[in-house]
Amino acid sequence: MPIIEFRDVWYWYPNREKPALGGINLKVEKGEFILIIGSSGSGKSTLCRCINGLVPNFTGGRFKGKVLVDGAETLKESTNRIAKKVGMVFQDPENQFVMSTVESEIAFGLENQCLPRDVIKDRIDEALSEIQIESLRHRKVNELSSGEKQKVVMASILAIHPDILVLDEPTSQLDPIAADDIINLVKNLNENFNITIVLVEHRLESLLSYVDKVLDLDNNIFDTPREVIKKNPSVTKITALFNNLRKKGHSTEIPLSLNEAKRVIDRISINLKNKTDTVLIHDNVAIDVQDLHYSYSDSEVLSRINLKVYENEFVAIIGRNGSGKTTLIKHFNGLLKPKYGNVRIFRKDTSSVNIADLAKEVGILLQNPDDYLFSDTVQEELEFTSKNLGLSSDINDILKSLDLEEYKYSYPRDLSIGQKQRVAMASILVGNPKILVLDEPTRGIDNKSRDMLIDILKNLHRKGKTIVLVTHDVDIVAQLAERVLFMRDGKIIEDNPTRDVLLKYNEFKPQIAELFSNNNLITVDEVLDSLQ
Amino acid sequence: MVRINLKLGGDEVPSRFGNAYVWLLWLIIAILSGILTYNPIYLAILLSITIILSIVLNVNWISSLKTGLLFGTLPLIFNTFFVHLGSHVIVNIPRFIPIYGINIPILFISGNITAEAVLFGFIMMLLLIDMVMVFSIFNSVTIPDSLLNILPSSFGKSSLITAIGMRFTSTIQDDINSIKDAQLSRGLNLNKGNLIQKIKSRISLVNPTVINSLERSFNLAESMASRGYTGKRTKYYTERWLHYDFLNIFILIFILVTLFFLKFSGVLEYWPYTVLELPKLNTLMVISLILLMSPVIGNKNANN
Repeated sequence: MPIIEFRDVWYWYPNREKPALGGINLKVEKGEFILIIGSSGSGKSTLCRCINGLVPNFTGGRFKGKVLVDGAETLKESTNRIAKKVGMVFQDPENQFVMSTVESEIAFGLENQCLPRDVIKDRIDEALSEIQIESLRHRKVNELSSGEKQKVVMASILAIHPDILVLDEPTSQLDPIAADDIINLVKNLNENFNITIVLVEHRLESLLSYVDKVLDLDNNIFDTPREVIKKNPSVTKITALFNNLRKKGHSTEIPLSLNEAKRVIDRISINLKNKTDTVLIHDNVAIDVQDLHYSYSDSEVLSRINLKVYENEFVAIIGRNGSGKTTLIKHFNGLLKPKYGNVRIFRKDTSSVNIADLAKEVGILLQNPDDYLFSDTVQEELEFTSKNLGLSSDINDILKSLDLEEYKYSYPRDLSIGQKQRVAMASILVGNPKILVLDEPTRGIDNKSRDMLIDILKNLHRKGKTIVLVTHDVDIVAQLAERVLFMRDGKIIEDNPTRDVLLKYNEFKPQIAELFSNNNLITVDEVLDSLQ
Repeated sequence: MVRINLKLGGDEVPSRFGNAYVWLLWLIIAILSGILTYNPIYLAILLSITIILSIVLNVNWISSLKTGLLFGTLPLIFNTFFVHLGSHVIVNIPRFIPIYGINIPILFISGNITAEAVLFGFIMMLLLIDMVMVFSIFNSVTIPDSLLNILPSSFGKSSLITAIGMRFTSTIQDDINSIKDAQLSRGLNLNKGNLIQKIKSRISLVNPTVINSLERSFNLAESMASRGYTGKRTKYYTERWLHYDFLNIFILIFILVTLFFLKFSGVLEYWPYTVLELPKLNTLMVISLILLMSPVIGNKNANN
């Protein structure tokens, strides 16, 4: 008997005409590892919530068909009973914490199962040990890093001893190292404890070769990874590259993982030209940071930062969470004033200019697009910035350039995350700033929105904008940036051309660079262009 | 110091400054000490006590004092300019002021500004500051989760909501800061224009804050449901009891009884509108207020 079974499942959210799920059929056997992929709005999160009965028991709406978990129909079971079998990890760990310390958070789910104290204590010990976070036991949850928070969430779920673990983009808020930690943890739980895993994830590179089946909601395919990439060959950079090589006449299968790709590369002989960069000369300094120090209460967050960004340059800033990237860029438009040192924007010292005046020169798009959106329509959202800055920009032009024309009269908060990101960006670009600074713009967005963002940024750069991009997404850095600043512990430890930095640090090396570092190639396009 | 577990077998509440029952009782009595009297001297003593406690317990009292002042200024302004009761007139605001021969009407605030109204506004301000300080100490010394453990199960859902509310205060503050950063980055100037324009410009901060909080609440509710929360549950933690916790409970009950005794014997009464006179002092009440510092005994050490 399958442990999860969907029988022709249809679901409509309340007051919606279009179904969020349309005729889903699938069977998952105990101990299987299932990966769910698809664009924003394809129903990934909704499907996850069907497994633990939140849809429709919690959300309401119209439901058709049957979801069976271990033979029991979720529609007829209480969420408390389903919670014993199905554990769920959501995107943002911050929104999942009920209690304020790690131990009490893990105890919460066990108390809900009305377990006696001694059992709860044993289960907490066990969960902390399984996830290897014993040292965090008495810490307050709001003092933890994002990666630690997500591990605590997983421990609190595992303590309940579920048969099934459902994870809805658990790494979307994490840096690459913390994300790898979580993915390895999930693999370990599947391998060593035979827990059935259902995982929604955008970082597919390290997963495709591991999972048993992939559910591609965009193409309505539920099959082994190898079968799925036959029908949808662009799911990862590696599969996209080898699919293109095939089209160019190379006889190759499409590898699922980096290791497999290395073996394929050894087998097929492809001749590549080495890549060398032309050094671009920029004259005018746009951002000039001299000996900047900044601290929050007692801890120093930025230390001895010296940096110049030139007009029409594209610079990326990379580094782990907490390395000081966001604190640094908040100095560029005066949101933060230097405690020591100077920040100058086109020679104007930010300490003596107010933020509203700096906003005309520097547009900053911070991490959460929701923080920007409050108006009833996209048009009003853009007009708000124009009014603040005393400008009369052509809103239609900006909407067109960001592919938002059809949403002009839509309520911004109802849009997908990728569309919201573009509306927030439009609300900055309407002020026509010479410098555009973006903080993690690809966080949580799907591949289609990501590709669209890449095109938009390329276009803006071509038109003369100076762009500073803070990101964990090394592929986008490889594709766009001329120069990379690598930050660690509040310091810039590397400031060099993109290729040099990405090839030097393993933790930030794109997978394509892992395959073709001998030829200095870091993107799919570069590899294809270098074919001899 | 001997540690006593009321119930064996479970873990103890990870406490910061001692027993949550003691601090909950302290909270109730500190609130009563303020609201059972309008005597400004008692309120000023209570304020001094909360400041001393905050310093000893390393609580950030300056920001709480600022918040209290912010809220407290409103009743002071309101009473001073809008309440015209009392016989001790400081100044009279006429109904019209002639400017270049034109009589400009002075709406709402024309009339007598009296010493009684100013004093009552000042008393209300002191009371509000006291309450903010008292809650700030309670929030800092207790872990929100401990409320869940000490309140009876009949309070189940309300105590959970209170505990979550207390934990989310800092999250909402972070939300407000990031929303403010986002809106300032769009050229919003919060200090530009007249009062109406300033209020309007703040709507861009209020709307996303409310919506983000609602979304956060929904996500949290989902997370709770997915972990089987129904209200019926066992309790993992027991409260840690030390000898001086019993002593503190005894002292606090003594203060409570004294407060009610003094209230019903009329000693705490003070009403500036009846007769404007210097407030009287009662030694027993002063001692009771000073005894409100008792939870710091021993518990300061318990934290070390």
